[in-house]
Amino acid sequence: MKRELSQFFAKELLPAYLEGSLDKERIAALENILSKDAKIKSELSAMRTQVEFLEELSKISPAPELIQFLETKPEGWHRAKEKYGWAKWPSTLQWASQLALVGVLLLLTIHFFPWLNMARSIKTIKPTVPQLSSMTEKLEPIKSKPIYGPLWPKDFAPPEVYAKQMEENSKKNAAIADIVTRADEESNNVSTEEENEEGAPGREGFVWRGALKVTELDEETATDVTRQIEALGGAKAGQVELGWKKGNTRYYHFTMPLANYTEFQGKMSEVGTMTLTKEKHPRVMKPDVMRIIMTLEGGK
Amino acid sequence: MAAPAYTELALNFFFLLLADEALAITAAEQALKSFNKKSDKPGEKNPEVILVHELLATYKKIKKKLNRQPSAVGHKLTKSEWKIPQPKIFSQWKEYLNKTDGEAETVLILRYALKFPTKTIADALNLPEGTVLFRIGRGLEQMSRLR
Repeated sequence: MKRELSQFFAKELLPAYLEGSLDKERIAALENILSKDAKIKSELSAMRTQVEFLEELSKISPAPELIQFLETKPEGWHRAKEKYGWAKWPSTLQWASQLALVGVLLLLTIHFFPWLNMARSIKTIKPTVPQLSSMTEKLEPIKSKPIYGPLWPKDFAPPEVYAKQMEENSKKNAAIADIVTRADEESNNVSTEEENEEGAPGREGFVWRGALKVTELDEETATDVTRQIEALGGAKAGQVELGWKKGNTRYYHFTMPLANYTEFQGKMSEVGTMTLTKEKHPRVMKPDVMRIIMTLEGGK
Repeated sequence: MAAPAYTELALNFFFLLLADEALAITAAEQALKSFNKKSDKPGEKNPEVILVHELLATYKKIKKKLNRQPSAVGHKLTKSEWKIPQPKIFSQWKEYLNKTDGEAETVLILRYALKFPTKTIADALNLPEGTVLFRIGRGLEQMSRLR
């Protein structure tokens, strides 16, 4: 004997029964319980009512125009193109955008095109480098690196390199001044040969070279030193006057009677600290005359 | 482009569940767009299964968006775009929708209003047919209770 379906299982099978997807055996079992159980029967009936109601809803339909509109409506890129495409722009906007584009292109060309390089390659312009023929050392070649914006000249080295070169140049200038001083001494040497022969043939020559260091070097101190040298019979030996301004120092190249040397030392020690070294020199002075090359320097 | 029958199905699905023409058109557009993309790929499954899948996915998205920002979606319509032969039935349906969250009704609409086979719905949901029948049963039960 077959077991009867329980109320629970019968209820669960109702949707499938409505669908007609149950096999014959189950249909028979369910119909058996439906004939006996009024509750299940009423539930089936309620479900049928709802299904009929839902089937009524299927009669609702959208307008054919709406369906057609959605069918023919462009999508994605085509939709955007159709809506905002070039052809849809007003003519004034088209002209304005074309002009703006040309303007931007022109600006970019002016700003970024290497006009100077092109001009150089056409005319073979060479950057001018200062020539210091009197110097043995040459300045380092200036390499242009135009990465410092439009205001920095392209012919110049980058700012930090340029500053360094300027510093080196000032050192070179000081070196040139020194060369001038030595040339002054050399010019004296040329004239010594006569003296050498006349004044002291066969004797050795000397020069006293050194510096007088003072706490503060000003015009008054320099004039005072010059006056005292002259008072002790000092006379300029080179081509420049006594106390010639050489950078931050004063330059004294003079001859003086040897007898006054002790007094000279005393006077100078009142002004500052003097250090003189006796050096051999091709120029031979008279036996009672000494030649001194001294610089007066500040910042004792 | 989706076949006119699919467009009509999509429009009706959203109209019946959202009870709002503007929203229905927006949602149908979205669903049909995804459907067109997926159904164009070679070797894809039954187009009806893809359509049902896209309808359900879009409905889920729209509901989420509506919960966050109710005025964010929808076209502006000046006239009705739907033919409703029995307005009384539709108004009863709308009343019923107001009482539910619209989840159980999706399967019912797909099965009885749009006439999709249970198998198609099951495939679209990636569920056994029995589960879909169970959901139909629960939905019908709920309708009997609330209407």
